[in-house]
Amino acid sequence: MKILIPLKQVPDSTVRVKVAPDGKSIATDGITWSISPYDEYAIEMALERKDADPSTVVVVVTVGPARSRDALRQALAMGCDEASLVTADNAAPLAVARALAKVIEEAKPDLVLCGKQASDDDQGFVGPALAETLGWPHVATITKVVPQDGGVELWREVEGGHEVWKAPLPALATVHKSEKEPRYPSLPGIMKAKKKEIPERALSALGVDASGPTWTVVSMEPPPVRGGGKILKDGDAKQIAQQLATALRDEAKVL
Amino acid sequence: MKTLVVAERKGTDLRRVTLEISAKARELGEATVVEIAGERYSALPFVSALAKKVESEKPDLVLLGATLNGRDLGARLAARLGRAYAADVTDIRVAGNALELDKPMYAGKVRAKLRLELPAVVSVRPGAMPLKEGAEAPQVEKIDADASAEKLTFVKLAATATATKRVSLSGWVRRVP
Repeated sequence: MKILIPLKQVPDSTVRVKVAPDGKSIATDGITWSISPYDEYAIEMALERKDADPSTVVVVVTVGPARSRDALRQALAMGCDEASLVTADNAAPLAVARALAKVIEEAKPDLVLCGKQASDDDQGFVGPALAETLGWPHVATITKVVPQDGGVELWREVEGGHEVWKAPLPALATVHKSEKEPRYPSLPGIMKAKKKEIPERALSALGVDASGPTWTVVSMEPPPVRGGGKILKDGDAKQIAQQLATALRDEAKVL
Repeated sequence: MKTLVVAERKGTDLRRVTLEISAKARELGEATVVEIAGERYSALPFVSALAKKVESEKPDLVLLGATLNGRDLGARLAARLGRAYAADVTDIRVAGNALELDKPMYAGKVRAKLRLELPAVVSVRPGAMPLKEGAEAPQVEKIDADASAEKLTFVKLAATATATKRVSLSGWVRRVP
């Protein structure tokens, strides 16, 4: 089986994201960039398939600025077989989906796995949009893939359990979690990855226009400063529970 | 502005987020609320049915709750229709021929104000637009999922053993004085 994972390079989760002086973007000077966490789960899921069946080929691709190459190198170091880059600056989301579709038409994978959403914009758009552009069926937020005769079984996590779906190939799934935590690149993996060629093409070379429906950022602000905590201690357990429930509903608005 | 709201149920009741976004849609202008009837959610049959409804209603905005299914349906629908898309927003205002949206980004480390040109598809974070006292329940129109569009086969529902031990909080809203 050939599995292709489109990944996105995003600010690392440890970065203290700050708004840039223009007030409309985040400050990116000197920050650490990484593979978006849910894409890492998708890569791990594919590599677990490869562990189970060594004939599996795992390919990663990204559509993004030149620095995204580092994220591809990271994926190769984890154990992916091939990587390629489509360079684009500020391509609209639908343009990203169209570019990926072109790469997929050439690469002909059996299965495409995407992280369910990227940790920068939390949109979760490209996975379903890619399936739509390809005309493939898709299942979102899976935690398990099991090859079957004539297709794959996709386990989708829902409230209270899993929906199990069978998809004919080729198919696309967005990943919520892999069985194990994403593996760290091994030293041999890192060395091997350094030597691998990562072919690069511009978006325009694929015949895809970078424009498309998207938003414009009006402003970006840090979150409001947190207020102090509150200690509930008047009354017995039942009364305190009552106060807590009321506060959760009326003040925190989470019930 | 004309909004098509996609309703969701939990069991037999409309989800609270459906009530929240229906109220918001009415605040923004004209609103139609539809529910896609089908045994369970699946992208292709739901997108197909919804796309047909959008074609006949021509809403400026399609509004969904940013639930597990809402996020998936909204995304694929936006791609099918070639509409601008924003997920998990916390507020919506009309700004001429566009919407101004509040959206948390970078795992909540940034609050963004975005401008999204109409026509658009937007999903709303549950609880972000709390219902006001005495908010009317919406009239919901049922449309059938397009089963002919399906390419998947549903195998089974595998329940998680631990799920049955959880205390459901869904009844608490009414019980809290």
